[in-house]
Amino acid sequence: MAVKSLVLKNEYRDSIFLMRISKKLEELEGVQKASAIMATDANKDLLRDAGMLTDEIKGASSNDLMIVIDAVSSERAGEVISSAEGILAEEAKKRVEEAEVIYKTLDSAIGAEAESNLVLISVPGEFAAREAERALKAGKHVMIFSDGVSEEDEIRLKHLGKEKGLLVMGPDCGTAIINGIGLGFANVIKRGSVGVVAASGTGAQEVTSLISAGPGISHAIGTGGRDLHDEVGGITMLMGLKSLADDPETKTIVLISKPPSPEVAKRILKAASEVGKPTVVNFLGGDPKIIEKINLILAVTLEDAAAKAIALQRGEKPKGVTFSADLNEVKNTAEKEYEGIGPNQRYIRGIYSGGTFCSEAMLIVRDLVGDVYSNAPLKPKLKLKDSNKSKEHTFVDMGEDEFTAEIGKPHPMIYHELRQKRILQDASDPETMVILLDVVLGYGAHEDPAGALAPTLREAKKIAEKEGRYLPVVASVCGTAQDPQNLTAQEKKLKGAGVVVMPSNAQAARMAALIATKGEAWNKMVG
Amino acid sequence: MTVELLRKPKIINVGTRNFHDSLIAQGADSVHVDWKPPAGGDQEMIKLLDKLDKL
Repeated sequence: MAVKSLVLKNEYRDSIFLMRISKKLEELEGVQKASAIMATDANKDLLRDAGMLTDEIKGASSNDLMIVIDAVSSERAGEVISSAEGILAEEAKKRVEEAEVIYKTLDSAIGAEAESNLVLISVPGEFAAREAERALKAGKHVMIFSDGVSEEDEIRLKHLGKEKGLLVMGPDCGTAIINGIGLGFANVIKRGSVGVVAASGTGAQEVTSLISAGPGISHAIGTGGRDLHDEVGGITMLMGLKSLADDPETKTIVLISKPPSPEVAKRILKAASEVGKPTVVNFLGGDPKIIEKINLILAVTLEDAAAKAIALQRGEKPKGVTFSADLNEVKNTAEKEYEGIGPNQRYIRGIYSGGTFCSEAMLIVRDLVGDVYSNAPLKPKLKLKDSNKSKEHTFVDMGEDEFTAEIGKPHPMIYHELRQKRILQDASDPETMVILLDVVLGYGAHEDPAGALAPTLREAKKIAEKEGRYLPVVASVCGTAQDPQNLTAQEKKLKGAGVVVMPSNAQAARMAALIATKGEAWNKMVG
Repeated sequence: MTVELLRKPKIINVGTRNFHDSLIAQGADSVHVDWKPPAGGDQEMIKLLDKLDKL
């Protein structure tokens, strides 16, 4: 193997763009590893650990772009570097041909685009607060997609926004929909009359995708995951709620969050009860009594929230969903899956790209199968000692920093390699009874996630089969038929690989529990 | 407060190019800022520049 590098001085590119290039280069023949990344100290450290730090790179600065190739020969590495240069040149040429106006700084864009009203920020976290502050001072609402912004900065920005009557969505706000326009990671959603305020990106994606099949969405306002902490005080959720209350297009409201601080929850629920529009609340794992006491509608899962909002919109009585298909059919599917199970297969292995999906699934299965270990556990005592090794029932959130910090390995919604490895690892474990997955579609996500996972899932089943076991795989796909990846096509690819595909994350978790208990969980679920 | 935003979002995208492309594909009104770390990413220098800006 031979390592070659190229440093392009003062050539800044965003991380998603660079990840796509790295992946393209890595797929070329004779390439062991390819990295197109900015020459920050952290990235240089990662390259050193991978044995790919060249002398040329040592002298590069954080404003320089570095391309590093580890290939079968020095000659091949050189050729691949030329290909990378070609890709970058082609992209630059395309921009010139499109004659698009591109601004160099936020200030110049604000100066020239006086009518703009929203600034979407996805720069590295350490710089995001600075840009957000500039936007707010210029009177623009902001959505901060970036994570890695301090809570102190978040509080400061949200107070500034509140003072000026401007929304601060985020930091770490993965998705929002404003008047039918999806921002960040968003699905293609039917325009309609249900408004959402969500402190969870994937939570909002699931709820809006499910409602898209019904009355559709007016707006989905993201708050970022910390908004409902005591220190932040739910500023954005309260402002979002007020916006939807005043919005004539919004007839029904859905609020989504992980369990908020009790004080903040009280404030938000009180405000929600005064809006005068039917409001469904899903505070994942939160206390149901408070919600029902003040005449709001409680939803225990994301799907439940969507189903209840749809029912309210139709003037029907809201009711929960356990399984949406014919119950006999569901039971038969589960039976077929656990028929071939070996005596030592006992545990569910949830391998997630969405943090909220992972939490929701754990909340559902813990009542049916018992404790679930995780890198993001429901209780501290259930934290995995080593996130890379499953123990009994284990659900991993592979979007956590510990998995995404490796070079060129961004979020598992975009890049599947780590999840693929984990699937094969759990398939080899004789104690694994079911593998449970989420697949997320929409703008920003991988262009064909089911296509990328299907061969791995086939291989996983083969590994088990060779050792005389049958390995059930259960998944749900979050998205719509209008998404660039197409929901139906993605589900078909998974089914083709022998996966039991359920219509929601909650139903997939229940199906996994049903299989893992060989049907014993049925009565608890369906009564 | 947010009436204008909810009626017609007009977006300035700072950072990830892909988000701007998705917005354009949806027919949204978006312009892109080809952002680079200010002052070569030197936080001390940035603070200094911001102070000068305020003057």
